[in-house]
Amino acid sequence: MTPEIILGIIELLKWAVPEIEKDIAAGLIPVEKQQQVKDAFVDLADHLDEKFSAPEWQIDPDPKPATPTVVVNVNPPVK
Amino acid sequence: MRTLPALLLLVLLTSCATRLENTTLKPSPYGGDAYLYRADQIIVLSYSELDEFVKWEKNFRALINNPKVKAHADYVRANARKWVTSAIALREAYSKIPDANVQDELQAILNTITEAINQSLTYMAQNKITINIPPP
Repeated sequence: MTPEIILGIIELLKWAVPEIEKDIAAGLIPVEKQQQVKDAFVDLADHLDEKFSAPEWQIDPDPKPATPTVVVNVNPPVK
Repeated sequence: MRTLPALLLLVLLTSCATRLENTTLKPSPYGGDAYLYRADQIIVLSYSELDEFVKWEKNFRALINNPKVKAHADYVRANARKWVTSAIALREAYSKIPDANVQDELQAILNTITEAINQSLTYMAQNKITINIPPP
């Protein structure tokens, strides 16, 4: 396991662990809590299309760099 | 700081510290399988975290003003659905036939997601957005 993966897991744990720690503190995960997790998982699995169709999941094109404006005089010089 | 090895084990779904209530009167929706419970929990949390990141990036893109952050967000946008779909499929496969190979594959996809989350959290930490709202 590379250091990057270990660092990644540490970062992941910063948000995942409080939830997991509560489980450990409880000693035995009550059925009600299990059902909450299962419901959340089923909701995710059943609504993947919807969840990944939200605006934040759409890739916006990168802004194009500004192109210099070239002014062309199409009128012939007045003599 | 928390003890890394113990937490590592937790996230890597060994979940030996987890016991699920499972009695005749109150049967476990997981049939008492702590691995499945932990897999579901991590898949759900992973989606939430990636969703938070892409929302943050979209909402504050102008303020963040960093092409690397957008590139990573677009990488997440392009791949997260595939990762989550694979994790769900492997979790379902494991629930039918608890097999070590499936477990390894599930672990591999969760590692990929973890790396993406790690980078996302790093960018969020490096680009803290402060919004000052003047008092009325």
